[in-house]
Amino acid sequence: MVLRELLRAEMLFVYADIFRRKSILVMYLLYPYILTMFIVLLGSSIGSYQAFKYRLGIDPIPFFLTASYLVMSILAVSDDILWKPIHDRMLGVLPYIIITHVRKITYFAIIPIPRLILVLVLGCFVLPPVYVMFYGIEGLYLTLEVVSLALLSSILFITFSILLVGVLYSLGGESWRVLNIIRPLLMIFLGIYYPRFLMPTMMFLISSILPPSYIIELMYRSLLKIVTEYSYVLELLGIAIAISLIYAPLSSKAIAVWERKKVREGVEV
Amino acid sequence: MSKLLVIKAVFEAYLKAELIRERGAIFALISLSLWLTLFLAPLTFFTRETSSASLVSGLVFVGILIFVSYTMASWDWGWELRWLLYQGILEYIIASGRDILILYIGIIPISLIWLASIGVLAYALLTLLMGPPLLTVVNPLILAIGSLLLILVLLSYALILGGTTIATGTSGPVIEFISWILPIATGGLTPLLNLPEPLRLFALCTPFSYPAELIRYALGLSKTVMDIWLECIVGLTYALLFFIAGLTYFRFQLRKILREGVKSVAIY
Repeated sequence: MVLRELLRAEMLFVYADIFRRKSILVMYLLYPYILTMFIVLLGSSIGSYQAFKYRLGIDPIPFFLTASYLVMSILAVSDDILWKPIHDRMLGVLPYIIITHVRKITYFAIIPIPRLILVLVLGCFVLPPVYVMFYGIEGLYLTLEVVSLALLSSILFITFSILLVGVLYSLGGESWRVLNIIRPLLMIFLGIYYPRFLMPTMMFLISSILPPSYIIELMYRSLLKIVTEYSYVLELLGIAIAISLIYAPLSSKAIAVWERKKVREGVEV
Repeated sequence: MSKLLVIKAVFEAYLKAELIRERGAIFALISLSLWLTLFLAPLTFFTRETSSASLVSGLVFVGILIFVSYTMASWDWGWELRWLLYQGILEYIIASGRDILILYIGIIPISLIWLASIGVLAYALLTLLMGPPLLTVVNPLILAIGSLLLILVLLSYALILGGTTIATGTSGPVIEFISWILPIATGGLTPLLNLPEPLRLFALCTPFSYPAELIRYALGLSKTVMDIWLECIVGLTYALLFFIAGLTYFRFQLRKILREGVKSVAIY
């Protein structure tokens, strides 16, 4: 019952805002294209389109469109969860949220769900035109594959994002300045614009603690037509799911610590 | 209170709020360096084995600075009015009888400090990732003209954006869109010679392409699509007309909100 009500409230909140202010919706749809144009134009002017194709074996346009779509998908989860306590505090509703009977872990787990549905819609609108242009009818299958994997990586990121909220905000309070460092750092280590298997060893190891990084690696292997054994695919999927599940009890604990801290020290409004 | 004191007060307030309080400058620079790394790393896939790393790095460096300048005009100067409106400060500025534009004289040095810091940071990052950017001033006069035109064009753009923002309640996503698409479509990031023909024509129809072209030419990074002095004359004329149009439009919108009130003060 609580779950359903929370979900309904969150959906109303997100969709009402998006459909009331169409500019957000349009911008959401345009962002992957804008980021792709930005990198491809800059890259082509300093080097060549052909050099990219020669190095990675793929056209830069579908590559960066996929990457930019992934950015939007991952941010849909991490931004919603990470920014929520800050927005709640700014709006003055954090004290009310803290005193509700709803378990905070449930509250945070529900937050990204409306956005996840948007990720699906976004993928189905944004990817097919370019994929079909480059790969023909096969582009539609590729869309399905990329959207499914993007959705999975976003879902697997939920527990880690909640853990991050709990740890960060328990230690240093709700600071948007810290978040502005965390967000690009996550994007780098997830291997979104620079595939994980091309990273230096140290970065590769750090990226291993992030569940979506495995799924993103899988996606790039498929996109770059790298021959990957079926057992390795299962291995990557298994590790990603396992790590995400390991974070679940830890995130619950971390959120509880944050909540207790708020109850003890009060909320700054 | 003399105008000079007002400017000093505005400068101090923004310096403390933006750069000093809660170590704002340090956090912002770390964040920016990470975002730059995120977008610069994949650019290495485009580099030709035969091309000079320093030249490539120089082009990226200028591209970053021009992009950041546009962003500065969009957010620091254009959007700032909306933010002041939201915080209820703009009404006090209007009621004080001071010209709103006096605010900009206080803000511009902050923006320039910020731009210089980003320049140093981008230079260091590019040196690490690609190699030291090649920056040789081959024509100081053209560089001075190009920089002057850039400031003039950005001020005009900020005036139009700010005027529209306070008058229509333009929202954040619209500003985001403009601040991304403008440098891409008008040759801010790439030399016009490298742009596809339709985009090149479009860029030439806007006042934004001329300063960027002049700066790149003056630094020996690219050639211009037309004769350099013709480019200066056209660019200067266009920038001056754009500035007059921007100022007139802004003053018109300001009078309009004094008469009709503001449209919307939603946060974003």
